[in-house]
Amino acid sequence: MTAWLLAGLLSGAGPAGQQMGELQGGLSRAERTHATVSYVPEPTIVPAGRRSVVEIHLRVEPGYHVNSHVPRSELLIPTTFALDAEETGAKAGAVEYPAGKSYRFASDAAEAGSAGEMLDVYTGAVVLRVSVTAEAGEHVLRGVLRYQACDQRACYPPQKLALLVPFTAR
Amino acid sequence: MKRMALMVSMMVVGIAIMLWAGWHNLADRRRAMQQAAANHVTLTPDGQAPKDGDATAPGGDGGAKLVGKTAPAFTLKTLEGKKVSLADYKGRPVLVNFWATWCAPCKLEMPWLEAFRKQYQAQGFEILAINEDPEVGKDKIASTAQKTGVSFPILLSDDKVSPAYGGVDYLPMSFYVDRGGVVREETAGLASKDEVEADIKKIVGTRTAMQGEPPALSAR
Repeated sequence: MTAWLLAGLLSGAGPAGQQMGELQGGLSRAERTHATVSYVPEPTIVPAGRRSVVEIHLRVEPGYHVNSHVPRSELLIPTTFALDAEETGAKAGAVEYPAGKSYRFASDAAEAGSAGEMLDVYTGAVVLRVSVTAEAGEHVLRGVLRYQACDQRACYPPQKLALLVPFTAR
Repeated sequence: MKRMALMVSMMVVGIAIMLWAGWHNLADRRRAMQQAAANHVTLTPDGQAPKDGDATAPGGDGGAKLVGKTAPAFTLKTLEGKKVSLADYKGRPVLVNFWATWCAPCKLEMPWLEAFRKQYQAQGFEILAINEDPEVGKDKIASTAQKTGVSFPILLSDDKVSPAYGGVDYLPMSFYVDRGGVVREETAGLASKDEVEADIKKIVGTRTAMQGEPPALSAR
């Protein structure tokens, strides 16, 4: 149950996740799929010397969700992006998180008389916004993304991932 | 004759242009794919990278491994500090259930498990719930378990039990161990209440079925 990170996979995770979401009942090990969250760097240009925003584009694969930054229980693991030491010539400020959506593990649980707890989650495209002020040039925001993913039936352990977010100030 | 040669030449040139355009498009597509691949990071569980680019391929564990095999032995501590071993339940059907406080579906099924435990108690059925996030502290684990209303033993995981059960990387996870200590069923993720009971029946009824008697099970 250690950190997950694999760069360079381009295809397949979406349909796999979708397939998992449609499965009924407990899953065998062979039925489990793997990719849950993708980070897609995009060319980002900000005005040099002025306070601006760098966006971090994450994608939660179809069939999965992660807790939002403010889940509804202290036991749930929130999504966070903790910035590392500052890049020379660039100063990063607060991270702004999007609002989550309500979600409940309902399915047949409701029929069985168990409502399950209401969650606050991210699905699909998730954009974190980091306030930056940078000198002209190429920069990289370094930080650690922490999240905990589930699909419609089960959950993966919380993960910490080092992210590099490149941007240019002109 | 000259006209024929001209036509043939035009055809050759045309085919050459078509071939070049096709190759050029292919090269462009490859460059675009390489660029996209270079800019794309997909986060996957450690050691479970899909093989040969097939993201739907099973993980390295290659499917259910423990079904039909003797359940791995373990000795763990309860929240109260008491040592509990799977061997203590020899001759009894046991559900070994892995869960965590951050796992909503785990907490969803726990009241069901408690109900089934009571229902099949007369047949010796027991549940050992192994908590997989002991770092949150005993108090939080205890309060979470209390909220779900369970009374079966909550055990604190160590660094051995999870690997012994194939690396419990997906919760909840349940192993249905029969009276002979053999894993009869293994499920990952939230199953329906009926499916859970059906799996419990597989292990509760093992001894009586072997003796040729109808299993003494309660109706659903």
